[in-house]
Amino acid sequence: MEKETCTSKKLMKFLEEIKKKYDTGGVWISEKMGRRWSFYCGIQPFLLLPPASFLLDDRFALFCEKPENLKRDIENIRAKLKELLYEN
Amino acid sequence: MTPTLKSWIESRIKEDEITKYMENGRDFINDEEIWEKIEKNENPDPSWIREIFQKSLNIETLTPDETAALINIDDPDLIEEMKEVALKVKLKVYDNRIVTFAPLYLGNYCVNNCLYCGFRRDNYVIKRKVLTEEEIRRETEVLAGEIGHKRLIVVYGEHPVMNVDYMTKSLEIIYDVKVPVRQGYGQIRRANVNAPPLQIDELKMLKEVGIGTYQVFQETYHHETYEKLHPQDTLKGNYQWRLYCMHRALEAGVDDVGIGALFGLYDWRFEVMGLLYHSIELEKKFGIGPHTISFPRLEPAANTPFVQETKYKVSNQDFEKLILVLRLAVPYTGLILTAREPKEIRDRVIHYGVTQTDASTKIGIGAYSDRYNKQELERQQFMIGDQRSLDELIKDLAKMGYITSFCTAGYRCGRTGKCIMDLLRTGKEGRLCKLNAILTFKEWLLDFASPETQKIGQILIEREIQEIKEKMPHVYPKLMEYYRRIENGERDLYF
Repeated sequence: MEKETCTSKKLMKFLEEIKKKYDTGGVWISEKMGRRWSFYCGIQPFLLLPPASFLLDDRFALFCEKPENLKRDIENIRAKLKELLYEN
Repeated sequence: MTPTLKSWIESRIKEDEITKYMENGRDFINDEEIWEKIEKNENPDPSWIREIFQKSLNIETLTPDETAALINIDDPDLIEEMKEVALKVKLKVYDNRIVTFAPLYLGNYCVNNCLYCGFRRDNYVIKRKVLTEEEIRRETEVLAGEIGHKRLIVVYGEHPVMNVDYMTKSLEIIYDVKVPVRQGYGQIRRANVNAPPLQIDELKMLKEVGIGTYQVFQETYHHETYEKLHPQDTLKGNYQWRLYCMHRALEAGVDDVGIGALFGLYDWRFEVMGLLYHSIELEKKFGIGPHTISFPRLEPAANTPFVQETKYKVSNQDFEKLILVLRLAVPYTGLILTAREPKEIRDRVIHYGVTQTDASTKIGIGAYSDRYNKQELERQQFMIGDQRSLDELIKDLAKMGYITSFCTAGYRCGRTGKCIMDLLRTGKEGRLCKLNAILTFKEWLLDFASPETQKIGQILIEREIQEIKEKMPHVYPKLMEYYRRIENGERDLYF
């Protein structure tokens, strides 16, 4: 019964790849709840840098600690993440 | 009772939302087992106690036997040691920050009849009221725009006039209020909720509106006492509906849940064990323990003789001990000390690992915008013991070396639920707390503080910045960039 809002192994694997390829530090997906964001899944922050966010759609956003490298590929990443998020 | 009210009450409890969580038809509080543990662990060996201290310092939840051993410590030297450990645990998990909030009571209607409560249904001396949308807005404007609170605990009674639709609407109103202040603006960034046990679908509605912590106190974990104090023909008479409301909340996706007991209804040692068993149960079933634990003591209430008659009143000495034991038993959780307690007690126990406290507290319905300062028992649930303003409290905390944090960063980026639990356990959250405390404290000093508090607060901030420079040099430049931007009028910058 563990509280786990997301159990997609494919999604977690893709986030791991993002972290490695773009050197993002922690990289995670959050879900919008009213005016706040709720942790959905991903790699928790560990560098303790201010998080940057990229909206995926009205419901989800991607957060990471070091966005510099990731920015250039964000369109492709966004599309892939949305595909994985709504796969089921 | 009107047929409509009766029918509402009958529709509240969903048996399947209790039984699904039970094991072999039993709940997770075994009264006999708890007493056995307390009795079995009398006169604990000091060397074992020191091993337990080390376990707490490793931020591991204690077992019932270990907790019972701490409860049984009588040696004054070991108690002194426990105080030191409690503070160390707190500093490791949360650093030297204290979070402040205010309670906002939206009404005092209630269908229950709890013997110890001023708001009980049959208490004819209480003037009943529920705030309108406009009144909620006015209360929030004072709290966010004049006092400078960023966090509230919004309190609802169990009554159809404060049903889940009223709750969601009121929370939307609270979040909508934005008041220009000296440089920035005042706004409630996190609305926690103290409400009756709700159904799973209702909890999903609260999650969607963006609540902070969902807080429900079991009052007493002792079955027999619970039955005596909460008449069986009332909604609250169902022990297990209340006990399992955090299971429902977590299943509904609520990120943070807060538990508590009202100390003075039954033996304090049993209640501490009950809180521990509740924490362990949530960790076991959901991988997430309580975000906060509250430990209010019973206070006088209008026309409520039970309070004077109870044989379980908690002495100051036992109160201090129970806070220490809770700090060590559930080391990652937030501990909430409220303004029920008088200043002299709060000033002392704040060092025992407390993480949150309230200030400028008014618990009369509509009391913030009515601007009356006298406590009127006919309008409030109980008497409060510390009426210090937020400015005064912040100044006093700063003098003691504590930085007041208005941080709600976790909710800005989704560091919530299991994520924040892991960050707390590993001490990472404490470092984020320090950074965000500096930034939000600076905001508050600029926007709300009196000249004296500004002066004392600024000395503390400079000390904190120096510590960051030495201990976290990789984030220092970014911190200073944000700090300057806040000085220039930007708000809500965070790590």
